[in-house]
Amino acid sequence: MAVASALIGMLVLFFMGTPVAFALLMSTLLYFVVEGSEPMVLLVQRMTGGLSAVSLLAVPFFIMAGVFMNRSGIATRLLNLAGLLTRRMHGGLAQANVMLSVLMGGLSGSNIADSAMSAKLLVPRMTEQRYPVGFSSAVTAASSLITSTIPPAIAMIVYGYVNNVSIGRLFMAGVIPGVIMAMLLMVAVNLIARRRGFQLPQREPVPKGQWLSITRAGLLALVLPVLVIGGIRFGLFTPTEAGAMAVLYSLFVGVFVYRELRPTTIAQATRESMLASVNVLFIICVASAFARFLTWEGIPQQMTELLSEHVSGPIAFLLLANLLLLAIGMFLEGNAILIVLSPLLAPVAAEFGIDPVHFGIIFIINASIGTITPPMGTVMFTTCSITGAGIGTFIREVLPFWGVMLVVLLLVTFFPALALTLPNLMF
Amino acid sequence: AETVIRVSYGNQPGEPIDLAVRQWATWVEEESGGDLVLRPFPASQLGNETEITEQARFGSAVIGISAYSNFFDVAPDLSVIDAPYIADSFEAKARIFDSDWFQAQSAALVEQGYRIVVPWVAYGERQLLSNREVRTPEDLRGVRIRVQNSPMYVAALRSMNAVPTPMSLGDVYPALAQGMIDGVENPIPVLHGGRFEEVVKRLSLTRHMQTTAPFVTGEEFWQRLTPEQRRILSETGARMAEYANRLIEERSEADLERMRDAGVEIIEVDLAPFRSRAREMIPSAFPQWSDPGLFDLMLEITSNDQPRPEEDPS
Amino acid sequence: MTTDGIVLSPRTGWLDALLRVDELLASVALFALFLVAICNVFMRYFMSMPLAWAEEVLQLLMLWTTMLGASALVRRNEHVMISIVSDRLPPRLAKWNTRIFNVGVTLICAAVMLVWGLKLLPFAAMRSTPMLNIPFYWVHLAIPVAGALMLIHSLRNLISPPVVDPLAAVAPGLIADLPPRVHAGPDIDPRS
Ligand code: NA
Ligand code: NA
Repeated sequence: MAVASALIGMLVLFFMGTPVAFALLMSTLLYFVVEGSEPMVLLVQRMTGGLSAVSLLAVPFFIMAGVFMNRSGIATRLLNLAGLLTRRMHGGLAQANVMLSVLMGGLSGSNIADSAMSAKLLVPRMTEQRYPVGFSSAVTAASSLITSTIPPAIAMIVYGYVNNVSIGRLFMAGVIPGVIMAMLLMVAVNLIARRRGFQLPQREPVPKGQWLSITRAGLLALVLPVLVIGGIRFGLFTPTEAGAMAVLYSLFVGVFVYRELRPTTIAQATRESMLASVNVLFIICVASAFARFLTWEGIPQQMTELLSEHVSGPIAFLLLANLLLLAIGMFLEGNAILIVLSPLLAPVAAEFGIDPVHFGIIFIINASIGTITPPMGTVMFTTCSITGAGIGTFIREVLPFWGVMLVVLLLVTFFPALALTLPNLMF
Repeated sequence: AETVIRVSYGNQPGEPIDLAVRQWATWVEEESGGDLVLRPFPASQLGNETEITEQARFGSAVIGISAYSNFFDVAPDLSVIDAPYIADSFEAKARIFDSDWFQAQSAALVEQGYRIVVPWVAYGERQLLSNREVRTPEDLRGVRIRVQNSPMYVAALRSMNAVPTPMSLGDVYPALAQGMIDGVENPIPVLHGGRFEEVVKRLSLTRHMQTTAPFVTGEEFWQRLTPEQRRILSETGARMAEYANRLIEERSEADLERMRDAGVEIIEVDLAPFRSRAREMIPSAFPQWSDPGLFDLMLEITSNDQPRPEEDPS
Repeated sequence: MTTDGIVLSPRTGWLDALLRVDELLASVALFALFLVAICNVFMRYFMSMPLAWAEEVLQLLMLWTTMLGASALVRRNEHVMISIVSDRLPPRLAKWNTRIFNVGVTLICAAVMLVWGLKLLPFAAMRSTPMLNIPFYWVHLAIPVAGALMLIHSLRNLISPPVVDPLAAVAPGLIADLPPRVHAGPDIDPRS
């Protein structure tokens, strides 16, 4: 009864435009009022407890590194590199959009940030080349999901924290699925561009000097993912420390190499990172209070029993989980799903003998597909509000890419090796 | 109506503590005729130990496993129970919980709003797993050993001459594999559970601590229970502790064999120098204690040659 | 008042400057988090002396960053939300929708954080952090302080409803250098 009113309250508030964090807090409050026997201080205590793990610090650090890199002009440099790599393809700028997400993937942990950046930088150029704005927005949104699959990724940090899974292993596990996602998206873009006659390949040669300078400027940014992954792999840093090192590196590059960071820009960038990180952290904080009361009521245990009794095996369970998450992902915000639902499903997965890292990647891809699916698609909103594309057109144009994501999801579901080979090799 | 009490602990399902708590729940249900229900929550699902004891103090219907050093701010003297080398076996350590000193301490804890439901279960004897052949304190000079972030554990490892490195247990495996730390200390089942023997192969039987853990609730909630309910909880709780102790002992022996089979070198340690260092260094690390002689008092209680008073044969 | 080219709300004056203290403190705390984390890495590698207190300080700073930052987000109306319903309502109704479901709910939550946050404080006296012995008072205090600030911000938002800018909410910082989009006033749907 108390749980039901909390859940219904949460959905109603979401749709009426209450900020996600306060909708969660208010519905937890509702639980306390209806339930009536537990002291309300518990709720407030849980809000401080929700942030008590240092591993969560990786969230603000990787956001900070991304913002600092952006502020120091890395995005335009990477865009030049992406343009260079894709110029001979059909639909060059659309391919560059995908490629840019791959390159940014190693710097940024947030698909919202990536879609905002691509929408701002690339979609106007694509419009100049007569791509329909709906298609440009769809490519931008879909390709940004690569960023949250290739490490570092906010979603992996949160998943690792909530379910006590090694964040380092999750990071490794995302690499191959992220690359597959990128390749399949590029194939899809190629087919669509040929059929609809978008931008033809550019054949005229690029001067060697320009080639070199673009590559050199871009490579500086690509050192960062090597530093992060390598540092974690060789035990130099924990993922949290790797985040701090990434900030240090981006500060160094911004101040001494690109020379675009000044004390005032650093202050502004810090404030921007703070606002963006807090938006995630505060949801984590409240959602963990919400999740705690589901646990308190024994919902995860009941769910585990229900699922393990009625589902016949790991494959059936994974397919069911995929369906469930896709459906819920349409209505809930990504981080809230991770915190509220993953502790419900991860123990069932463990019971079926599914590797927690493998399940984590499946979960994260699922949650990220939800971000480009109406009605509650955060990435969809971000992209469309920047490009001005209508949601209706967006949905039509994103369908083929949505299909690609589904294929990636099924591939990762049925071939655990895609996720597990790298972490098993490296640790 | 039935009273539901949530029992919270950090151990994973299937571990001895989990099995024991589930058994406890059955006994409580039988004895109370379903009037009192214990609901087990393993794996810290409801929060960590400090959060749970705080919740108990709010008046929540919860019993949590804890450690006596967690009460450092309200009853600093109790932390001496977690000090290294105050006993040489659980049998000796049990004498502390029968002593007048402990009775006075638990009364003081009631004043602060906490109620001890089960004074102790044997959590396990702590040993040292590392990449060094540790036989004497000299062998630990400059060696980085992971400890939990708690002053008593930091002081304990310092007294053993190691460099205590606080870190969460989840980070230990990669940290050991990559040489960020040299070793880790814990009861053997925990060491085996973390598969740490895959990366460091020397187990020194330092026996530095016979870790005991109490089950604690809040005094406010305790007073809401009927005397009959309190009696049932205490009596079945004592039975649960015995059951848990037996399971844990069996598990420790089995896991030691498993480690040996996995190629771990088992090293006997000369305990005398460790003991004298602990006795010398631990009291000065805790100026908050009411009496620096507390450590010696524990030695006196545990080395008491008198046999323990017979336990209630329930 | 313009920040980085985004016109947030038409408020200016000393009171607004004062009420922006949460944003300033949270930003400073975030930078301090970065510095402590870096220090810890360097101490471990170059001095072989990991900072035993680092973890506690990081936790404390992270909580304060989050709570003060969340309060700043209330003032800026930049918490993540969906605006499908209010986007489809006529402006008059949309205004009431915002008042009730955005500002109103936030107001209740802020009040709860303030009242029960204060009730939590006496309990905090029973606990301190393990290495530095910082009383938990300083940890839990973040909640009622943020609650009080959020309460003030949302009361002000109730009197003059905030501009709903879902874009700023999903990606603050990343859209900072977009060309300025001037909102005519708080009562007009910015996306119309
Ligand atoms: Na992109
Ligand atoms: Na990434």
